[in-house]
Order: sequence, then C-alpha cells, then structure tokens
Amino acid sequence: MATNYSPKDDEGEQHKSRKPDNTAFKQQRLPAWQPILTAGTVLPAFFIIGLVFIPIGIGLFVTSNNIKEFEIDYTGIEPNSPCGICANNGTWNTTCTCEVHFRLDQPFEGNVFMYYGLSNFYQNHRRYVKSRDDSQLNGDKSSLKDPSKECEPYRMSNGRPIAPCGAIANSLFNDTLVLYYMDNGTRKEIQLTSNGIAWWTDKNVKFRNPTGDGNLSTIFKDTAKPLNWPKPVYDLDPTDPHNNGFINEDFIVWMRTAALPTFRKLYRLIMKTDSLTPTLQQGNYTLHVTYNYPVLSFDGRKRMILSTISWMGGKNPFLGIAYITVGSICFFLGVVLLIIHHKYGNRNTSADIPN
Amino acid sequence: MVGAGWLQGASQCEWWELVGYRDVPEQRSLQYPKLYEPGQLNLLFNKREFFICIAQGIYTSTILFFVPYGTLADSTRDDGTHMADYQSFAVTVATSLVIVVSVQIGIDTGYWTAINHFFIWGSLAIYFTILFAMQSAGLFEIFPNQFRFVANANNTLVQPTVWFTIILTTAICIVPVVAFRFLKLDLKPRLADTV
Repeated sequence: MATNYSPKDDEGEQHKSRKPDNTAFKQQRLPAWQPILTAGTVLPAFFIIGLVFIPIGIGLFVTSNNIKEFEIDYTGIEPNSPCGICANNGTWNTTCTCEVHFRLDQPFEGNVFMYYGLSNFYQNHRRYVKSRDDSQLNGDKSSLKDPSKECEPYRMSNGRPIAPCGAIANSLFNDTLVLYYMDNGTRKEIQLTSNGIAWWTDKNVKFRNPTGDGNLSTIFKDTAKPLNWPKPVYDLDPTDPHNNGFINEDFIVWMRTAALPTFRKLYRLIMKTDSLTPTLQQGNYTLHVTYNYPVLSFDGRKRMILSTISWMGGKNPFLGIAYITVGSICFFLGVVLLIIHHKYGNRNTSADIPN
Repeated sequence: MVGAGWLQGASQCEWWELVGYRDVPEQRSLQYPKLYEPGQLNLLFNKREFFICIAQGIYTSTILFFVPYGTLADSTRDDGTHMADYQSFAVTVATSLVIVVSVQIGIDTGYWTAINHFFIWGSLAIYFTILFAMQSAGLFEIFPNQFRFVANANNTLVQPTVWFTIILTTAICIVPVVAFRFLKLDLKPRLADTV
C-alpha cells in the first residue's frame, strides 16, 4: 500500500523528487548482450572443448615422449653402491670422491642438459625462503657491511658480516660432477659448459657484485664466508671474472629456491658438437663425483639427470595426459548431457505461468 | 590457497550486486509477480546454497594448486633452465586464479552491458599491468628486499607450458559449473529463466 506523498509547493524547492532519472543507465535499460545457457550453446561448446583438447594432449604427450632422459641416484645408501663410503663417512670438511658407471642405451642428440636432483630437501620452508638479503646480492655496499636481520643466524661470523648471508646461501650445493665417456677402455671427458645455466635476468639484473677498486677479494675483504662453505664467495670461480662472486651461475641457480621437496637444478650444459654425431653416444659412461654435500642426515637423495629439451621444456607427461583426460571427459559429458536433454529436457521456451 | 577458494566461491554466489545486474526486463517483472517469489522465500540464498558455494570453492582451490603442481613439478623452461621454483609456481597459480575467477564472473553475468565488459576485461588488464609493474627491474632497484620477484613474469609467462597449464586449470574449474548449471536450467528451469 503506497501513499503518494506530494510535497506542497511552498516546500517544493527544498524537496527533490526521489524518482530516479529516466536515463538508460539508471533505469537499467543499457544495451546488453544476454547469453543464456541453452542446449544449442552448451553442448557444442563441450564437444568443441573435447575435440580441441584431445589432439593438444596427444601432441604434448608425443613431444614429451620424444625427449630422452636418464637419471641416476648417486647418494650411496645401498650396501654395494660406489658412493657408499663417501655417504657414510663424509662431513662438511672432508673431500671424498667416487665413481658411478652407467650405460646410455640411446644416443642423445642436440644440446644435452645435465641436472643435479635432490629429494626430501625443503627449499620451500618459509623461514628458509626468507633467509636471504637481496640488496646485498644486488651489490649494495651498505647491505654488504650490515646484512638484513632476516639472515639470522647466518648473519655475522666472528664479528664480521657474512657475504652472502642467509640459510639459502649457506646450504649451497657443492658436489662436483664430471662425466667421462668410456671409449674402448679410454676415458674421454665430456665438455661441460657452465655459461647460460641461470636466467639472464637473474645474472644481469638481480645479482650484482659490489663495485669498488681492485679485485673481488679486496672488495669482500671485511666479510666472512658462509659457515658451511669451504671457500669464500670470491673464490667460486677464480678463472672467470664474469662467473665469480655473487654472479656465479651455480650460486644463482641455487638461490632460486625450488617450490617442491623433490627438485632438479641445472648444473651444466653439454653443447652439441655438430649435426652428424650425437652429442652423447650410446655406450658406457662414468660419472666422477666429488662428494661434498651430505644428505643422509635428513634422509635426502642425490641424483644426476641427463636430458634433452623440446619447445615445452623437459620430459613432462603430466600435461599431455591431463589434456587427453580432460578432453575425453568433456566429450563424454557432452554426450551424456545430450542424452539427458533429449530424453528429459524441458523443451518449452515459452512459459506456462500460473497467475 | 583456501583463501583463494573462498574468494572464488564467494564471487560466484548470487548475493553480490553489480551495477546493471538484472535477469528480467522491468515490464515482465510487472506482468509476472510470481517472479518475486524466490526472493521472498529466500530460495536464492540459504544454507544449502551457501554450502554449495563453499564446496565449489574447495574444489576450485584444490584444482588451482594440484594442476600447476603436477605440471611444474619436473618441468624446465624451453632453454633448459629452472621453472620449478616457487616464484614461477606462484605466478602460474595466481594468473590461473585471476583468469578462472574472471571466467566464472563472466558466466554468472547474465546481462552484459558496456560496464560489465569494462570491469571484467579491465580487471584482467589491471592484473597483468600490476603483475609486470611489481616485477619490473625499476621497482627492484629501489626496494630490492620487497620486490624480489624481479622479472619473473617476463620469464614465466612466455613459456608455452605455463599457458597450457592455465588453460587446463580454467577448463577443469569451469566445465563442471557449466554442466551443473545447464542441467539445472534444462530440467528444472526457474521462472526467471523462461520469461
């Protein structure tokens, strides 16, 4: 029941009408598109999704299957494994070497990528992830002398600031892996390249050495090395000044913390020699490990992985299988909905409305 | 992750009001007063609807985590370098989330005026603008410890694997919603849908 309140004229100037203006915007009459979920739109959409996803999935799966990958665990926990001695007796300070023999059944063509893999290593632990100082790693002089509080307890050592500070830097992976091809009894060392293993933006934007006079050891002279490192940061690669200090590529790769507890990080590249011979031939190989990194205390595992690459990266069957599955389910769902619509669907578009 | 699911669940429930949201022209509202019945009987927002929203939020947040997890776990970029790091994972999941929510809102919007187009496409554009701005080298130079994700978007969002993952996640989240909604419309249409 509405009472129609009309203001009197003498008060009319103070009371405005509360009726909204008769514009398209305020009366909700704007031109519009009204999509409605009818059988004519939804069912073809499902079939199209199904028919598009299945070939994509097959393509991804085939591409992934054509990538060659080889993985070998060299932690040394089995009783007779070559690195068992190193695993059980090593500490942070001792150096132990071992050799693992393996065989490649297929030749690897094109550029081959050598990764090291760790398992049960939680680089995604929150306190660990925060334990770094990015302004120090960017070459800021004041952060070099006074690192961030986030780096505690890896911030100062014997009264001197640690460079690079933090738990991530402290746990740098320091095994050395060398690969030999056994060619009728003689060993041929495979050429490993360490340039180009880190992201270009990391190496050139995010990480910078502090500037100053003299060489790196002078610039870093008032700092201490991280507690678990055998050598200070300016000795990471003395032979190459573009790979020394904070811009050392192995260091940069390690500092990009992994998302999951089982991860692999790029260690070296094996560039292709020429288009006629495969980069890694079929045959016997030896991996020479300088076993420095102890993982048994947290039940971790270490692996070496050799892999070729395609336009979608390394071997990744999940994406292909997921696309095929989703495409099939979509198509099947489309068929089911078509049957349901045909048998039970409400065909009426005009309403029979009781009043 | 659950927070993201809640956000997504809340966004597609029917109790938000956008400017210009309507499903029936006003002349028909006057002709068919029975259209007002669902509102009076609280049929559109009650405990059952709320729990359906929550269930959808949980499903979406599970998919938004596990599908990128499965894809990125052992992946590398097309030059062999790192892609399974936590920053790339975060950018992938965040981008998937924004796209899934935008598509969901798009499906929910039954009445596309110019304003709706502007806000929905605009929010996607703003997301990418802010993403690239926050991960730019310029901001990193000023505040290195706050803007650590420098150049991550540039490196991650050019990888085909990441975009395939985003499209897959969107499809898995949206297809069941559309299927349920179509079945509901087909078998038990509300009065408002047929007018």
